[in-house]
Amino acid sequence: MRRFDRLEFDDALPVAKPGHAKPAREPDHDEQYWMKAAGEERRNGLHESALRYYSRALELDKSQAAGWVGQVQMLVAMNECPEADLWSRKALELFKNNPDLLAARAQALCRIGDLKNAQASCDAAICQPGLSSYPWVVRGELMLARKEDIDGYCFDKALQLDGDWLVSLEIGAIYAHYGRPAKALQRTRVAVEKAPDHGYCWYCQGKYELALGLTRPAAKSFERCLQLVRNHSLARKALEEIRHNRYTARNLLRKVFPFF
Amino acid sequence: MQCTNCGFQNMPGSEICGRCSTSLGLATAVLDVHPPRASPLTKRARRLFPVRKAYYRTREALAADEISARVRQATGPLPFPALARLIVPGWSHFYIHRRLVGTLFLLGWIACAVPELLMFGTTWGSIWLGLAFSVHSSAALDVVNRTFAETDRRGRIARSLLISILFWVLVYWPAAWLEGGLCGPHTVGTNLGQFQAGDVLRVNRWATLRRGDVVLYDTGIDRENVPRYEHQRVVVYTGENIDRILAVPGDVVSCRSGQLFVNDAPSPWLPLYPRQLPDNLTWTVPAGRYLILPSIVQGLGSIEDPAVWQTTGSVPRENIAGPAWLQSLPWSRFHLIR
Repeated sequence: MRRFDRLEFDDALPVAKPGHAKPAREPDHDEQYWMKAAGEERRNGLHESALRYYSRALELDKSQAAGWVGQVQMLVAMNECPEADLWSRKALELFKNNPDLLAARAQALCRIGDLKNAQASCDAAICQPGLSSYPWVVRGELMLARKEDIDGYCFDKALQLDGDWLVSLEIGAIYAHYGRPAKALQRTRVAVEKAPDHGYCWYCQGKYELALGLTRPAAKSFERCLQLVRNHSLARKALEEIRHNRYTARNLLRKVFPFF
Repeated sequence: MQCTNCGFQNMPGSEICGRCSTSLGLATAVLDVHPPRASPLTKRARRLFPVRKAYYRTREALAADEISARVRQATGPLPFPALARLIVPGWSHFYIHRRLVGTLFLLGWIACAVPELLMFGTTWGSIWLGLAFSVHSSAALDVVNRTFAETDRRGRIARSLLISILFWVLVYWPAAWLEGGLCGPHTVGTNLGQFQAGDVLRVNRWATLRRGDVVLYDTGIDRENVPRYEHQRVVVYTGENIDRILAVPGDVVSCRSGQLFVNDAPSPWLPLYPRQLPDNLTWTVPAGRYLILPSIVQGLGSIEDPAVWQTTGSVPRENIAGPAWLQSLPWSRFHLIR
């Protein structure tokens, strides 16, 4: 069934709000529309859909570096780092020395474990003009992977350049990836303060609270997430696990071996 | 034409950007914009077996080891403590701050030496011994070659041969000699009670013999010297055997009503298979001989003539190989012999 994996159905597209009479899918949407849709999906934590919309945008206009960067970032977010590395190399052939693409490649390499090349790529990204926050985020991740203490400085620098709550949230995700749920929670709380009406922020906060063993605050965060996004299946599942299956053998096993 | 990547205004007709070399015809180029994807199975396999991450980590650690070793080497040739530590594979690497390489050499050597110890005396034991020797020599060469880094290939080969010979003569030969003396392997030729043909026993050939030791010995009896009786079955009892020493030279042994007495005291030791002890046997064990009743031989228990017991049970010292204290092969029956 692999050949049907990339098929797109109407329900996968952005759902039209009840007040609008527009159909869910319009053939004449331009690349900006798809880029915006991808950004929104990304902010909702739907990386798979975001990746699909970035591809849609690039189908219409391949000269958008942000689309390529977004694709690589989504691949990294979905733990497909070797593919992200491959894709970033292809994109860098088209956009030489693009700082965000270099940073995205550095992030993919860092997740793979090739810290030496990741460092080189990240250095090259920071040396480029027109710096965004993303290279500093990646630099912070690199410092974290190297177990050097200046990761906080790099992340703060990124937040100075771009105060968007998504940056804080992604920094939190990076901390969580490296097994630092306390620091992840600290960064995610900033995102929640900035965007309390986004369910995904609450879900992430609940996830990190749960990782720290704070079940009651985690349940509250998941409840808040479900209030904002009623059909958030992950939050619902996590909440049910907290309420009903707190001490199952599988949960205990997961605590010991996180890959279960 | 404005570049979409850097915003540079290029001359009309340009194909690539003059500043950043980005293709200016990118917007209309035919390119696949769908990235490659990993299947869920691949992602799970990557999570369970992070081979690439382990590879990069090892590579980085080796590079860090190499740097610290080079820094150390810059201070001069290897000092004596590093050379003295060559006796243990990997130890000198720790001294010159190549911890990862040292650990790998040490673990590799242990992985070869342990099977060698368990299978010593068999073909596989020899193979594992050779591998352990190779790992040890390689570890030593790796350290020594740092001192003579600039020599030619012929010099390296000569040094390798010299180190291998030195290691064999100074370390492995004495070690094999010690091992052969303290726990020399002996392959059982025929079925001897609980011991099957092909089992490997470890015999301490240098031990002082005491009462209660289970020993491997040769009966030293010829077929011609066995007393013969008319109309009676003759049990021929020759070759290698295993049983317990019940009395040492000078002991006065007596058997009364199935009970063995040594120096008029009840003996705490019995043969391996105490079926039936001889009746009315009183005997002083002569010098240079030991009392070992061949209990695993079928049919001897019914013999009443004390002379037969004295002939079969009296074993000279030179016929005793030593205490067999361990059965090492097969592994399913690995145990200490008591």
